[in-house]
Amino acid sequence: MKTKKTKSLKQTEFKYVALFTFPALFLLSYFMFQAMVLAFGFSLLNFNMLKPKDAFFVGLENYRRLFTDPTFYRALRNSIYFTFVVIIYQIPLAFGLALLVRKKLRGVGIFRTAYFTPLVTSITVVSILWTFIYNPNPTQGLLNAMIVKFGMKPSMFLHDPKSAMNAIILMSGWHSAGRQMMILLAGLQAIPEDLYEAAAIDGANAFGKFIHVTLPGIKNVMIFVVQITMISAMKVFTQPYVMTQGGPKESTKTLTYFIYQQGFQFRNVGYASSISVLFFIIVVTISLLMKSLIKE
Amino acid sequence: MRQRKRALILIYAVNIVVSLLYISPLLWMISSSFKPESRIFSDMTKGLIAFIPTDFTLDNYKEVFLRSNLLLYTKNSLFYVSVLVALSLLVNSMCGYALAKFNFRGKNLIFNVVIALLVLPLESIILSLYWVVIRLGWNDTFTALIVPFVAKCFNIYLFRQFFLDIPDDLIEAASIDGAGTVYIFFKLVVPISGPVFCTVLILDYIGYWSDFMWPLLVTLSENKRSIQLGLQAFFTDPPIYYGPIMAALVLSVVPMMILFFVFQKYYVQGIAVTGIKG
Amino acid sequence: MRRFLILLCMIALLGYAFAAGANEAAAAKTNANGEKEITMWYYDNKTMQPAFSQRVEDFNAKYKGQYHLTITFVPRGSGYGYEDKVNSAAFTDQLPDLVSIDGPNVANYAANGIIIPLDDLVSEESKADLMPSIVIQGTYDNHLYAIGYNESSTALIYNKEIFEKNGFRIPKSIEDAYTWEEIYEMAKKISTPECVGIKLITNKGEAIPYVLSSFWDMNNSAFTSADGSKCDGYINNEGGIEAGKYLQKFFVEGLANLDPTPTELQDGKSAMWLANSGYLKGILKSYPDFPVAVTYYPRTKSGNAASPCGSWAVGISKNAKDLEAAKVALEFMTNAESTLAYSTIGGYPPSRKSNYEGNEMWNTEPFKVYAEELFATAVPRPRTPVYTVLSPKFSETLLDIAAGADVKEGLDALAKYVDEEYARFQSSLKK
Repeated sequence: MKTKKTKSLKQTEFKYVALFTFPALFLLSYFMFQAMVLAFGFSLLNFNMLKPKDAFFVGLENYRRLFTDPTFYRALRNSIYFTFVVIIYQIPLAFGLALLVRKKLRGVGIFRTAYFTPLVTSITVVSILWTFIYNPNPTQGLLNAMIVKFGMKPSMFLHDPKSAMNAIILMSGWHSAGRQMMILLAGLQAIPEDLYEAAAIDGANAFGKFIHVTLPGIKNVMIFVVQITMISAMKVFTQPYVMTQGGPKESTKTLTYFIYQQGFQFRNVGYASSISVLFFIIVVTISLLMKSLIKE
Repeated sequence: MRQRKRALILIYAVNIVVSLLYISPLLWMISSSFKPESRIFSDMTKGLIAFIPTDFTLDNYKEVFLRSNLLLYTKNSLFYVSVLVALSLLVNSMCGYALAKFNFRGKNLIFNVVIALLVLPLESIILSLYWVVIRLGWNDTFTALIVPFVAKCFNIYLFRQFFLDIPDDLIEAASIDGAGTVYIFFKLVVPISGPVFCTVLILDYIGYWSDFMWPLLVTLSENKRSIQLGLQAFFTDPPIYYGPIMAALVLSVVPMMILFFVFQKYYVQGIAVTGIKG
Repeated sequence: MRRFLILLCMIALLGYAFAAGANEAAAAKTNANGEKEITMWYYDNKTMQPAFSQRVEDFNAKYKGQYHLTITFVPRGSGYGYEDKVNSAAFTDQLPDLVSIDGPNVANYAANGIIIPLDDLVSEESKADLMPSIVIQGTYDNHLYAIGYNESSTALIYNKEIFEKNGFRIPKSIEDAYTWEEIYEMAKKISTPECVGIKLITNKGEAIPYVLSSFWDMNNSAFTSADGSKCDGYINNEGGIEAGKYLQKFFVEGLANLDPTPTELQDGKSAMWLANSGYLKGILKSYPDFPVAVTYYPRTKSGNAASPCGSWAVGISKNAKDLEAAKVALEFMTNAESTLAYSTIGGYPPSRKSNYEGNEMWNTEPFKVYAEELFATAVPRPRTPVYTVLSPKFSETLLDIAAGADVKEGLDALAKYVDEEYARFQSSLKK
C-alpha cells in the first residue's frame, strides 16, 4: 500500500518528463531564449539597425551611457510607479468585479462579458474616447465638464506631467481589470462549496464567510495574480504609446517604451538592447524580492 | 429570506451600473458605426445622443465591405490564432502539469527559467526574434505567426499554479486503479480544469487577436494579413474617415465577444473534487 | 541538469548552423511567363490605393511578357508601422525593388545606404519636369535618391461664416497673407471655450513638424543647418524661440486646443485650421454644406513667408537585383501620367510642373491657394539622417511648450538631443 510519503519521493519516469516538457522547452529555447541571448549580445555593440553589417564591438559602452542617461532613470521611475499604483488599484478592482459575478445568477454571463469588453475594444478606440474624457477644454472634456460644475479648476490630465501618469493608470485599470478578474474568478470557483456551508453552520454571516473562507481560499491565486500583474505592469507599452507618446516631459515614458523608441525609432539596437538587459535584471530582482517577502 | 433577496437585488443593481460604465465605450463605438461621418464627433459632447444612432445609416458598413478585404483578414486571423491557441493549450498545459505534479531533477531550475523568461517584454526581443524567424525562411508565412509563440511562459506558469491545487490523492487513486500518466492527465485532470483552460484560451485569443507589431514584421501579402493590420489601413493618412473605422472595429470585436460569451459559462464549479472527502 | 543545459546550448547552436547562410536575398525572379518580377511597397493609404493599383495594372499591360510589377500596401496606421516594417526589412535584406519613403526620411535612408542614388537612372528630361521642392526633398549629399509621387501643401482653412460675421479682411494674394499678429488677433477676438480660434494640432505625430516648421523657416530660423548636420544654433536661435513663444501663446491663452477632435473645424468648435489639401478635399466630400474657405499660410510682419511641403516619394532599394527592371518601373510609376493620377485622387498638388498646365483643379479656387504656395513659398523639411529622431522629439517638445513649458529650455534640450544622436549616428558609420 503506497503511502503519501513514498509518492512524493518517487521520481517520474524520464519518458513522461520528456513527453510533457520537451515540446515547450524546445520551442522556448529556440525562439525566446535564443532571441534573448541575441538581444543581450547586441547590447555590447554599436549597432545601427539599418547597417547591421557595420555593427562593431564596444564592450560596456552602452551601459555606461545608460547609467548617465536621465531618460533611463525617468523611465525606470515611471515604470515602477505605474506598477505600484496598478497593483494597489487594479487588483482590488478586479477582485471586486470577480466577486460581483461569481454566483451563477441568471444573466451573470452578460455582466462578465461587459467587464471583459474593454479588453476586446481596440486600444485605438479606447484612447480616442479617453482623450475625449480627459480633454483639458471643459466644454469638450467629460471629466473637466463635471469638475467645473462642482466649481473646481479643470485639470490638464494628460498634458500635465504631474497628472498624466495617473490619468493613464486610471484608464489602464478600467481597461485591463477584466484580465485579472478572469483569473481571480477561476480561483474563486475553485473554493469548495462545502467550506461555505460549514462556515454557515458555524454561524458565520456573509462578512465572516468572506474573511474566513474566501480570503484564505483565494490566497494562492491572489499571490499569483500580484506577481503576474507586477511583471506585466512593468512591461506596459501600448497605453503610453497610443495616448501620450511618452510625454509630457517624459512623465509617461515607461522602460518598454524607451526600448521601443531607441530600438525602432532611433535604430540604436545596441543601446535598446542594453536597456532590455537592465530591464530584465531589475524585474527579476523585484520578483525575487517579492517572493521572499511573501514567504514570510 | 428577505435578506437573501435584498442581497440579490443589490448585486444586480451594482452589476448593472458598473456594466454600463464598462460597456459605454463599446456602445459609443457601435452607435457611431451607424451614424453619418459628420455626426460622430459632434454628438460626442451632446450627452445621450452620442449613444443613439439618429440618422441611422449603413453606409459605413458598405464602405468597409466595398473598400477593404476585412472578411479575408478576419478569416486569416481566425485561422492562425485558433491554431496557435489550440497548440498553446496543449503544449503549455502539459509543461505546467509536469512542473506541478512530476518529480524530476532540474524541475526547479526549469521553473525558474520559465519565470525569468516571463519577464521579457516582446519589445526587447522582437527584433532578434524576427531575425531568427527570417533566417528560418519563414518570411510571410503563417508558420512565423504561430510557431514562435506556442510555448508561452505566462501560460505555463498559470497552468502550474492551478494544477498544484489539484489534490494528489485524486491522482494517486487513479494511478492505483491502473491509469497511466498520460491517461490521468487527459482524462482526469483536464476535464476538471475548465476554468484555467478557458482563462488561457480567452486571454491568449484576445492577446493574439489584437497583436499588431509581430504580424506587421513577418507577413506581407494580402492573404496572410491579420485583422489588426487590415484595420490600420483605415487610420492612415488624411482624411481619416471615422465612420468606416467604427464599422470595421465593431466587426472585429464581434468574434471576440462571441468567443468570450460562449466560454465564460465553463467557469463552473469545475473542481468537483469536493466529492472526495478523505 | 548539466545534460539539459548542454542540450539547450546545442539546440541554439544548431539554430545558428542551420540558419547561417540560409538567407541569400532572392535574385530577381522570373515568373512563369518569362517576365522579370519587380516588387514595390507603398503604405496602406486607402485614398491613394486605387490610383496606384491602376498604374501597376497599366504597367503590367504595357510591359506584358517583359516585366511584372507587384505592389504591396503595407499597414502604417496611426503610428509608424510602415517605417518599422521597412527598417526591419532593411535589417534582414528583405526590401522590395522599389521602396516608398515619406519625404523627410529620404536623407536617413540615403545616408544608411538603404536606397541607391538615382542620378544615372532618371532622365534629365524627367528631372527637369519635377517641382524644385521635390528635387530638394529627394536629394541628399548632392545625389538624387527619390522621386516624389505627389507634393503637398498646407494653408489656412477657415469658417467663412465666422469670418464674415466678424468682418475680417480676406487676403487677395499671397503677398497679402495674414501676418502672425493678425492671426493672433483674429483668434483672440473670436475664441471661446466652445469654439476656439484655431486648430494647430492635427495629430500628435508627423503633422506637428510638418505643419509648424514653416514658422521657423520664415523667421530667420530653421530646424537644422542646410546640410542637416547641426541643430543647435538653428532651431533654438532667436527666431526659433520667437516662433515657439508665438505658438505657445495660442495654447496657454485657450485660443487653440491641446487635444482637438479630428473634426473640430467642421463641428464648429474652431474657426481656423492649418491643414493640407487632402483634408480640404475630405471636408468638401463629407461636409458639403460647411462654409469652408482657404487662404494662405501666415507670413511674418516683414513679409517673409514659408509654407509646408513634401510627401511620399519612391526610391530603389539596396536589395534590388535587376537595376534595369527597377529603373523602368520607377520611371513609369513616376511619369507625368502617374503623378497626375496620384494628385487627382488624393487632392494633393502634383509633383511635376507639366501637370499644372491646363489643370483646372489646381488653377482655380480653392485648391489654387495650395498650388500658389508650392510655387512661391514652399520650404521642404530638413534633409538630415536623424530626422527620425528630430521629428518625434520636436512633437514632444512642442506639446510640452503648448502645455506651458519654457520655450528656450525646451528648444535647447531638443537641439542638444538631436546633435547627440547625429554624433552617435556618425559613430555607427565608422568602421
